[in-house]
Formats: sequence, structure tokens, C-alpha cells
Amino acid sequence: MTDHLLTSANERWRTRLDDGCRSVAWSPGGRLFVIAADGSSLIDDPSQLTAPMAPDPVDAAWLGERRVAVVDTVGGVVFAGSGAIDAQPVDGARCVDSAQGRTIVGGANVVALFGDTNEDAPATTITTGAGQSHALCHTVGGMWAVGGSSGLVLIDGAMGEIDVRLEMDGVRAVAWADDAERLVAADLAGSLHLIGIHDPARGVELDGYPDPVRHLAISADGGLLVAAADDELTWWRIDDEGDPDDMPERAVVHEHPVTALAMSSDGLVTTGDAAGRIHVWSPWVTDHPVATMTLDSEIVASEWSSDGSRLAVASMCGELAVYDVTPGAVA
Amino acid sequence: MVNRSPVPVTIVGGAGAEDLARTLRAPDHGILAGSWHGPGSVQIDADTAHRTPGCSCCALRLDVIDGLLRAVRRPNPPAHVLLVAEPGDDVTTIAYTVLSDADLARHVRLDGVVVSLDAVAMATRKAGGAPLGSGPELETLAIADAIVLDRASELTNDAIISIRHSLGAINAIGSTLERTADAALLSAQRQRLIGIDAWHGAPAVGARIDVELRGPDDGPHTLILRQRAPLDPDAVDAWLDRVIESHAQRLVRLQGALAIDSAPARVCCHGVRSYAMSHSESADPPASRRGESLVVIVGHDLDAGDLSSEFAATRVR
Repeated sequence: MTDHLLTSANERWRTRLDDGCRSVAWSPGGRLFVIAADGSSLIDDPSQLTAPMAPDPVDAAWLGERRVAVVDTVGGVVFAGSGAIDAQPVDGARCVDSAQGRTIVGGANVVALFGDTNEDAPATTITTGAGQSHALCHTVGGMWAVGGSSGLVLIDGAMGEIDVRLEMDGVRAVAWADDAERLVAADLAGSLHLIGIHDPARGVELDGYPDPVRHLAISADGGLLVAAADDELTWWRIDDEGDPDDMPERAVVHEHPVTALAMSSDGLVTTGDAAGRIHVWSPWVTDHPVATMTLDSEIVASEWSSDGSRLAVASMCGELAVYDVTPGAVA
Repeated sequence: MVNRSPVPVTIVGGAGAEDLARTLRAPDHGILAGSWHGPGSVQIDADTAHRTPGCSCCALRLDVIDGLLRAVRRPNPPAHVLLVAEPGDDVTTIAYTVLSDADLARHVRLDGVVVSLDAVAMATRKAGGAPLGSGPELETLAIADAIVLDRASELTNDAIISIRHSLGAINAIGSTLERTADAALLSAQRQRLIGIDAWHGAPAVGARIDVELRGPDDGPHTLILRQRAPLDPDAVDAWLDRVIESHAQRLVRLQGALAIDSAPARVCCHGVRSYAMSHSESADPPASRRGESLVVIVGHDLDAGDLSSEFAATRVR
């Protein structure tokens, strides 16, 4: 049994990149990749820095343990690693994810699907009808969810076609609960849309946000949804049927707007703000952070390693820190 | 914690926007443009969404948000950003986006709207009796803080005077100047176009009467309201709320300096469509303007009678 109150977060290392951080990604095996605004990157630790590989990178993902994909607004997507680098054009490329041997790049009204093992092969390009892509995630099997400026689409990667298209305005964040097979999307109108993957048309809309939700996360079992809007954090408890509590816990958790949010496999949540403050929260003690750290400037990315043992946090001025996080154990 | 001032952003629109932006750009400036790549440039492609589905008055340019954040969320951001509105772009939507997005508000500040206008093409249209521009073009001209006449040297003085007269009927808030290739003159012109902070203070209009309405038949109108008596704070708050609520879709620019009863400084307000913000006036107004309230409303189908009488009713009784 764990007791999150006794959680410790010890700084493993801290460094500063030459430019602002743009994206942080952990591989399934725990390798770290950080891309900076000038296109240079850090791999694993501060001793391994690369030359710029993209002029205006915006997102990155690991393809297994040896290669990464970097999405660039000018060039498309750059695949790098194992001594080779290759670029493929994707119009309006903004976001990338990789799972089950495939890599998906969200672009301007399209997504491009690549195979991990042969990025040179022509991509399968699918017109989404969702406008400019802003967020995407792998869901179940060969299915992907893509949020864009005019809606949310579920894409069947195996068939290379759109499975479902849901009209929403300005979807800027999506998250997936793997065990519960539940998807959540945040739109510009200030609503969250909780969607069961097997019956997407029967979603639940969670509204009441005066400011649009910009960052969200959902636990793997689908029982906890955390959303950040301005300086507030909302904790939605969701039952097995996918119905949320009528009254979520809502509190102002930062003195400045929340600019990053992530949830670990242990259920710990980290939030970063516009002043560089980072809080770690337990879902069971939501009125007080269980750990607090600080970087030099606005937090632009925070990511947990897949086993939940390490947390990487990056700032707009290029500061980057990795923490070993240990949830406290009750004897 | 890094504490730095928001980066000023100038929206450059009109037919020669890209060329004008390249001329105005200093080495430490950034440029956001759809099609031009060069030093300090960030590419953007039109990507519009709406805060409320179907509501045109809360349209947001998501590409502008992302592009500006990419340009300024860095250790050494540009000293100034020139945001090029492509031909066909809705400049009002871009201005609304820059002002209203919470993330952008932390990092950037709308400095002004500068419009490049082909003087020869305009003179030709005038001579032929054609409309001076399409609806969106007239809207852009109406909210501009400066209009730069390109190729004015190819026209006679009479033609330029005629163009200035026509522009004066469309735009009450900005200045018009002729573009020059002379380096010294260009440097002087740059100071009238860049770093002018035109949206956050009192509107740059001179009002000789208490109510003035101007504008072309087929374009947006500008209503200038003036009062010399102090205003009741609650009444003026309620009036501004009503203006936004009833005119949001038709409002392309709102700007005012309000002399509130017992307030130590005038309160400045600015807005576009459904967005409005107010703050204390930071600069000392000229002595002749102290105690004077001045509001400029640029929009479509303005009900000047109601707006002016309701504004007049906000004075302290």
C-alpha cells in the first residue's frame, strides 16, 4: 500500500539547454529525449546533446528505444537515431505519437501514418476533416484519436480511414485511459468530452469551465480525470459506467496559470505554472501538494517515465530537470 | 523566475504587408508570416476555431497563438514581432486573438495595426467609381493605427489629397503616411509605426463635438463619443457591458479613456468583438484632456443614437 503524503522527489540532475524547451518524451524503457526550440536535443542525460535537426520543432516521440520522431512546422517529420536521419514532409505537422510499431503525425487536415521499421516507405495519408491537428494519442488496437481546430476524429490506422468524426470546436488536448478504453478531449468552449471508445456518439460532456481546459490527464483505469484551466485544477471521479461525480473537487492550485500537467502510472499528478513552480499532487490529498520544485521560468513540458519513477520538467528558458519520485510506503 | 515585459506585436496587413514588414524589421525583430522564411521568421498557416461553436464573434486564430508562443517562449525572445496578415486574412480576428488569449496575454502586447495600401490602385478605383475595398478590407482600414501609402510618389498631389480624404472618412483613429525609400525618412516613419502602443492608452483622435459618426455607406462606421463631466463608475461599467453584449458580433474595435468620478487617473479600455479589458491610464494626458472621457467604437450597424444617449447618461448626477 502506498501513502502519497510521504512521497519524495529528489533531483537527479538539472541542466540548461541553449534554447527554450519544446517537448519532452520518455521511451517505454525509460530513455529521455528533449527537443529545444533551436532544433538541438538532449538524449538520456546532459552529456549527450545533438546538433540542431529541425528548424522549428514542436513535438517529439520515441519509436521504440533507438529512434525518435521530431515534428517540425516547416519540414514535416524528422526520424533520427541509430546513425541515420531522414525527413518526410507532412503539411502543417504539429503533433506526433508512436505505438504498436506505427508513428502518426498530425498535420493540416491530415494525418500521416508511418511504419516504425521503415520510415522511408510512403506514409499513409488520411484526410481528417478536423482542421489543423493539435493533439493526438493512440487508443486501442490500430485506432488513434486526433483533435483539431474543427473536431475530433477516431482513425482506424489498419484500414487507413476515419472511423468516427465528432464535431467540436478547437480540440487542443486529448488523453486516453487504456484499461477503461475511455477517451477525453478538451475543447475551446470550456468543455471536456468523455467518450467510450466503443460507443463514441454516447459521450458525457463536462462543462462549467469559465476558461478553456488547456491541459488534462486521465488514469489508466479511467477512474480519475484531472483538468487544468487557468490556475485551477479539477479532479473528476468517474465510476465504472463512465459517469462522473456531480461535484468534482476544484481548487486554485497555483499563483500563476497552469502551463503543464501530467499523470504518472502511480496516479501522482504534476502541474507546472507560468512562474516555473512545479507541484506534485496525490489524488487522495488534493488540498496540498506532496512535493514542490522550481525551475527558472514558465514550465512548457512535464512528463513521467512510463514506470512512474522519474519526472522530467522543462522550461521556456531551456532549464531541464529530472527527479526521482518515490511514493511513500506504509509499513 | 524570469520576469520580463510582454513582447510588442504589430499586425501588418494590406496588399503589400509582407514587403512592408521586411522593410520595417530590425535585426532583433521576429516576423510571423505564412509564406516567407527568413531570419527571425516563424511560419503560420491560417487555422481558425471558435471559442463557442458557431459564434463568429469569438473566432480565434490558433495558428497565431501557436506561432507567437513559439516565437517568444524562448530565453532571448525578439524585441518586437511583426505579424504579417496574408491577403484575405481577417485582421480583426487576428487582433481579437492577440488580445484575448490568456497564454498570449502573458507574453505579448498588441502594439498596433499597420496597413499597407497601394495608392495607385486606390486612385484608379476612385477614378472609376469602384468601391474602395471589400468589406474585410474596409474593416482593416477602419481599425488601423497607421496606413502606409505605397507608390504614392507615382500620383499627383491632388490624387494623394483625395485618397487621404477618403481614408479619413473610413479611419478616424490612425494616421496616414506615404512610404518612402529614403533611409532617413524611413527611420522616422518606423517610429510612427513600431513601438507606438496604440491599443492600451487613450484613443488617438481629436474630438471637437460630443457625438460624431463617420464611415462609408458599405463599410464599418466609427462613432466618437465625448463627455467633459465625470462618469459614474457603476453606470459606465453597465454601459460597457451592454455595448459588448449587444454589439459583440459587429464590434471591430473599442477604445476609450474614461474620467471616472473620484478616480485618480482615467481608466482606459480597449476591445474587439466579445473581448474587452480596462486598466488605469499609464501616461499623463495633456492638460486639455484631463477630465475628458473619450470613447471610439468602430463597428457595423452601430446604433449611434442609443449608444450616445446611454453614454451621456453615465455622467454623475
